[in-house]
Amino acid sequence: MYHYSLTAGNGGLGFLMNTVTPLNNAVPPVSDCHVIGVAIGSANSLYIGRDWDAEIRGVNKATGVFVSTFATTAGRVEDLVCDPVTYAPKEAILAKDAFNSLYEAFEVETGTCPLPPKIEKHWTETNVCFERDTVEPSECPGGTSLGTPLPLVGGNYQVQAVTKGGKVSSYNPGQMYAVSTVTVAGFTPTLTITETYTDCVNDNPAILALNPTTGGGRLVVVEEIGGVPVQTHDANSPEVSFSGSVATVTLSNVAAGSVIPVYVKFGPGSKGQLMSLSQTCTNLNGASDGTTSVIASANLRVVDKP
Amino acid sequence: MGRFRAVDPFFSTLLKTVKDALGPSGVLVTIGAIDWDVSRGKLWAGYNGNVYLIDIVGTGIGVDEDVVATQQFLAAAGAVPLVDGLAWDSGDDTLYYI
Repeated sequence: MYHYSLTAGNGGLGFLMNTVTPLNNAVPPVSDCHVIGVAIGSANSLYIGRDWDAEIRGVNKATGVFVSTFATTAGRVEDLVCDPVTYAPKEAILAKDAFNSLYEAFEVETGTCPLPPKIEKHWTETNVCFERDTVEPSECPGGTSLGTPLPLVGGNYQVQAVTKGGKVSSYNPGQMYAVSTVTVAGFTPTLTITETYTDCVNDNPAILALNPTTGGGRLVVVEEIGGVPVQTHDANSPEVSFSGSVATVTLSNVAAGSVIPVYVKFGPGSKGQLMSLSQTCTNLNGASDGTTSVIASANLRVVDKP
Repeated sequence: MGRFRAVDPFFSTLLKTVKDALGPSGVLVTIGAIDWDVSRGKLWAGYNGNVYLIDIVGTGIGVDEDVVATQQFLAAAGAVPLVDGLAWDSGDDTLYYI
């Protein structure tokens, strides 16, 4: 088994860093070359399939030294892959049979199969209603609402400006939420979500401003629990911070399969000023599980109210 | 080569069926093993010592089409026709090759 670099820091693309010979647990250990299929394990290990022996073995990824007989298989192993989704919150090594559609799944330690969070971004009106808990009575007797998305035209979410003499007097809607929705597939010890609104509040003139500028209502974290949106944090929560034009939410021990929308509220940034209609700005979101970061963005365009 | 399918891991929905992986000159690329690289958003693939990155997104999700395989390097060792396994290590951005 050959271990290749893909980056300059490890010797360059295609640089052979190491040759690993998987060994058994005999004394002295022996290599029998029955290796087919490999997946990255935890704690500096690899899972290797053994094509003639119906076995998946754990070995040290640097030395090939035997770690464990991880599993025995019914089929002949042809390839291995780490799967954090199908059996979530458990994670599994899937072993594909060589000749049939059979695969077998074997549970592995949490964190063995990292999968980056998924993030989506949009803008909505403020007609939201979230439960505060899952206990009756409901905070939303008319039903919960994630908000009505602003019109999306040509890749830009639109807000209408009401102008007098070319100067902005208000927007329609008067306030709006920038929403980032983060989905995590596997258990995530620490999840960081950011909303960067530098472009929208620093444009000249500014298209947006946080609204309200202080208080818990600036930002709301929601978690969909049993399909019901429940508000779990706001801007006053210790998990939420603001610095410059960036809001940061840091959540701990996020369960596999969690869907977490974060709402940041904005209003007009330049009331009473001349504004070029069709001016556009972009809010940027990020989500990181400490290993992998993903980003999303959504444009907001100010158009004339007909 | 046989077709392979991309499935959304969050929702188990079929995103795309890849017909063939083609080299820059349109030559069919044979593949022995694959592994997904989340940082590049591409698929590592190998055959006969050649290691490729495949852009399975191509012209778009939901489009069943041929995709482009770009050779990244020729394996210095292990240049046998059948590549029996690839594993991309997110910890140090390296590739294990059988």
